[in-house]
Amino acid sequence: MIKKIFLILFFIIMMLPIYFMVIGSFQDTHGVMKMPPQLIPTNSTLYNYQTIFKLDFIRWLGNSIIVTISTVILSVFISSCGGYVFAFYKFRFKKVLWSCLLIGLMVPRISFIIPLYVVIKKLGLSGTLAATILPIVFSPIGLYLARNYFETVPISLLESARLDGASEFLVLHKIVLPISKPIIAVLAVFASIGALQDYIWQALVLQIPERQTLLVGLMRFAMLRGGEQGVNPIGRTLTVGTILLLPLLIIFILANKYFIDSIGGAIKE
Amino acid sequence: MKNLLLLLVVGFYGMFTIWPLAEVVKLSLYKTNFITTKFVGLDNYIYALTDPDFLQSIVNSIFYALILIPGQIFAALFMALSIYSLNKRWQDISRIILYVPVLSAGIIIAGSWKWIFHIDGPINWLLSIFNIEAINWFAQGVTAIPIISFIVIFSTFGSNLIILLAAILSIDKGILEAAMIDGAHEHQIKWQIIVPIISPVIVLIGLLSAINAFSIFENIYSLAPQGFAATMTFHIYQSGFMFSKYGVAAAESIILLLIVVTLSLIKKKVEIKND
Repeated sequence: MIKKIFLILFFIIMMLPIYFMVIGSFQDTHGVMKMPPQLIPTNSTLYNYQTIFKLDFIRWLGNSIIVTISTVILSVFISSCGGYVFAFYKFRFKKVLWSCLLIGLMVPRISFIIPLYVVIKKLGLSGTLAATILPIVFSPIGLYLARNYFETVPISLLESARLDGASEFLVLHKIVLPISKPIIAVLAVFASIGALQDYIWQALVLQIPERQTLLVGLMRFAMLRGGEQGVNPIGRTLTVGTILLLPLLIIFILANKYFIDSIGGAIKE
Repeated sequence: MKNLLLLLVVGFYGMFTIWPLAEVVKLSLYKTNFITTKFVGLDNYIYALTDPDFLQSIVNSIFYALILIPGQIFAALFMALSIYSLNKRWQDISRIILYVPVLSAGIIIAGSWKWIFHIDGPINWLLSIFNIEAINWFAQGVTAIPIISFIVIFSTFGSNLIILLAAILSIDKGILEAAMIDGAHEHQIKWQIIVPIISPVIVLIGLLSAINAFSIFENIYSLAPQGFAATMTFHIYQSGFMFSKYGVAAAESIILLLIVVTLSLIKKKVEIKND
C-alpha cells in the first residue's frame, strides 16, 4: 500500500512538466508568470492558440501528416523486410553485415548532419519533404527489434507453407504479416516519434515557410523574439509544445496495446 | 526475393549513413566553403584539438556522462525493482506513464523546463520561501550542466525502465522462488540475485547513457546555448552552422566518433571480464 502511494506521487511528479505546459498555454503573460504557480488555472484565455492558428497552420499540419505517414510506411517496410531476411535466411557475411548495420545505434546523428546535408544537395532533394523523410527511414533500433521479433516465430510454420507450394510473397502476406501486428505497431511508434521530434534536421532542410512542417514552423514562431503584446515568448513556447505533443500522444495511445508488451518481448539481451 | 529485400535495406543504409560518414572523413581533410575547396591534411584536427572551446565541450560531455550514467542506471533500476513484483495492471500503468515524458523529450517540453527554472519561476519561488536568492539556473555551467542532465534523465529514463523491467521479468521464476524458500529477504533477492543476473543490461544502459551524454543537443540548444554548457555535438553544430567551418566540424565529428567507439570497446571489455 505504501509502495502504491509512493508510486502515485512519483507519477504525479513525472507528469508535472507536461501539466504545467498545458495549463500555461491557456494563460496570458501575466498569468503564466504569477507565483506561486496556479495548479488550477483561473482567467484562462485562448489568445495563444488564436495567434498560432493565424499562421500557416493548416499547410504545416498537412506537411507534417505527409512526412509522418510516409516515414512510418517506409520505415516499417524497410525494418520488417530487413528483420525478416536476417531472421529467416542464411547468407554470406551475415554477421559482419549485421554489426555494420547496427553501428548506427552508436553514432550520434548530429555528428554527420553536415555531410548528410551535402548528400541531400547532391541528390537534388534540398528543400523538399523527401529530404526529411528518406534519411530517417532506415532505423537501426527498428531493424534490431524486428529481427528479434521474427526470430520468435516458429520457422516450421513457414517451411510447411513452402512445402505446400506457397510462393515467398504468399508466405509473407498470409502468414508473417498477420502475426506481425505487434512489431509493426512498435516500429510505427518509433518511426513517428522519429519524424515528429526531428527538429534540427527539418529546420535545416526546410527553409521555405510553405514547405515547413508543424514542428519547424511553430518552433521558429516560438523562438521569435519580442512579439506582439500579450504573448510572452514563454506562453508561446508552452502553447507550441502542447500542440506538438498532441499527435505523439494520440499515436502512442492508439498503439499502446501492442507497444508496451512487444518492446518488453523484443528487447532481450 | 531475399536479395532484393537485402538490397533495399543496404541501399538506404549506404545512401544515408555510409555515404555521409565517408563525406565526413573526406571533409575533415579539406578547408571548404562548398565553393572553393583546398586540401589541408590534418590541419582541421590540429585546429580542433587546440581550440579551447572544443576542449571545454569534451570536458563538459564528460561531466554530463558522470551524472547521466549513474543517474540513468539508478533511476531506472530503482523503479524497475519497485514495480516488478506488482501485478500486471500496475506494471502496465507505470510503463505507460513513465513513457509519456519520452514522447515529449527534447525541444517539445523545453519551454516547460525553461519556465520551471526561469529566474521568476517556480523553483526560485520555492527557494525564496527559504530566503534563498533567485538563481539564474542556465547562466553558468555549475548549475546548467546538472540541471540539463536531470532533465535528460527525467525525460528518457522511461525507455530504460522498459528495457530493465523486461530483463527482470525474463528471469526464471524458479530462481527467485528458491531464494525465497531459503529465507532470503526481499532486499537480498533484489540486490544479490536480480541485479547480478541483469548486469549485462545495466552495462548496456550505462553505455547508451554515456553516448547520450556526448550527444545531448536540443536541451542545450533551447535552454543554454553557450559554451559553458555545450556538449561535443552542440559544439560541432556551432562550428558547422554558425561559423561555417565545415572542415573543422567534420574533424570534430571524427574525434567524437573515436570517443564513442572507445566507449563501446570498454563495454566489451567489461562484459568479457564479467563472464
